[in-house]
Amino acid sequence: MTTIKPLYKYIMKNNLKSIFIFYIIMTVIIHIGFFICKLSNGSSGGMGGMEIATIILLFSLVLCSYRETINLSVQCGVSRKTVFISSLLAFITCGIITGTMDLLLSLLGNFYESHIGSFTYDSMYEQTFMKVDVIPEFNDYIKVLLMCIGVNTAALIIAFLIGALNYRLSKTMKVIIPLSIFVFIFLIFPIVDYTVFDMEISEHMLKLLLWTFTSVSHTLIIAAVTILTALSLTYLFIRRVKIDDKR
Amino acid sequence: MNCIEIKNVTKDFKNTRALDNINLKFEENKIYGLLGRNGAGKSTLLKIISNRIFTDSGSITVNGKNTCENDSSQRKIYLMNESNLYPPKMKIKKAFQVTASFYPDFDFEYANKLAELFNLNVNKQIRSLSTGYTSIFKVITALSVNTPYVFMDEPILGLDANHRELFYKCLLEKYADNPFCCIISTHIIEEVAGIIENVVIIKNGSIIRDTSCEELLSEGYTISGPAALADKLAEGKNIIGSDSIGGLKNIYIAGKNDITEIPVGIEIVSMDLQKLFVQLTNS
Repeated sequence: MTTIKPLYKYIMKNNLKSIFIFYIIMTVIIHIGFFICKLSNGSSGGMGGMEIATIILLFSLVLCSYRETINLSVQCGVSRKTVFISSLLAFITCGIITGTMDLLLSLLGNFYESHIGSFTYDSMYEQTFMKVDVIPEFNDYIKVLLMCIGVNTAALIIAFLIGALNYRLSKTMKVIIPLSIFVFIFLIFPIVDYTVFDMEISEHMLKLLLWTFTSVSHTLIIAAVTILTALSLTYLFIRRVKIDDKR
Repeated sequence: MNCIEIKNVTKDFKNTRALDNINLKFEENKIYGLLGRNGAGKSTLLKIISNRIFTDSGSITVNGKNTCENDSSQRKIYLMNESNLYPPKMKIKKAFQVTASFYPDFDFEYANKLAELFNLNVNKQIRSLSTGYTSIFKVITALSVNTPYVFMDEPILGLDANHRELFYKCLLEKYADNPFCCIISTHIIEEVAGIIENVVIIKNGSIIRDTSCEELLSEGYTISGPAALADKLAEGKNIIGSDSIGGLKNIYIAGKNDITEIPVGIEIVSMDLQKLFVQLTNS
């Protein structure tokens, strides 16, 4: 327990700096969008889906810092399971913080939208679950918050998994595996699905995708399943990894 | 007794046996020299103890507790080796702060004092340091961390003669003020011979010597002088090696010195640690 706290604080400090700068920039962007619309004499404009940028940021943060974090941790006498636990706690915290910040951005964007007709702001939730030009209500904002927390945390954990896998792979495997995934998704899978399963697998996947975006609760269920699966795999990759600065 | 106990540890890398059923104890408050030729298994042993890699069989305990994936045991250990596991872009003073957050007994003041002594700029990034100064940074961290067991794998890599002398001086001062168990693994044997109390020699993954320095040095002696005289005096003794330069010869004998009459022109000296090591580890 005594090493979980310092490592958690270290990860949080590193991530929060970038997250803070990111949200300042996003806030400025929304303001710029609003003022351009306001000053443009009748021309309309809009922005939305800023949450995708958050997901990309969180993904990059974890992916880029994984090697340094695990190396530094083991140098300072931290076990791999403590690295796993501290990272998980830090990512959940970051998921909650960025989910809340995404909600605040959504509130800001919709505040401006309600004040001038020429500016529209649609968060990812609004684009997915709501009709056009409808300003969200209080209940919707709760769903925005939950959805952002769930999706952001899932992005962090998936990046954690990829980081853990990447750390273990040799240089050759780092080329082979991404290429294999690409070939599988775009070549092997479509051919097999078409010839053997008569496109049934693709149909089921499409149905699952549509089901995911039918309601926020479905999205959160898929996010939870993704998180648990990714965490299990991550633990398997971390628990006996050899620590080496050449990796 | 508090110690690091290594029991039946074996480690293989593909077709190579790096460590073969090692049994060893590192007792507290002693300075050990961990010696061996290239590829003998020294670094592998240190990495296993410090949880960087895993043993294939056997166990390692610190004060009775397993070291593998055990935070409380690992916080009693600090390893410095040729790898730099600190983020390259991190500044040295930040590295000290981060280390201090994991090792509560880390002595900041002492670290800064050493940095000044060694002329190390703590505002520099780790990646901007030369090989020598990277070693200095790692050595300062190892000396400041105040764990009961400190492992130094090639601590003087890239250090000039002045810095090496300063390192030995600081190590001995630190040891005198606050005794701790220090295990130094190095190839520069003649320099550490003066400071180590116990010697562990590894050869081809096995321990061939684990004894005090004094006892090890009493295991051999050198007969030096004109070749013919030296050969005659060495007759019947356990000769483990010899060097010749011109008409002069040095003959290395294993065993206690039992020569009572020394002919004129012959000198009998105890073998120095490096010579003894070379003779013991030659194939």
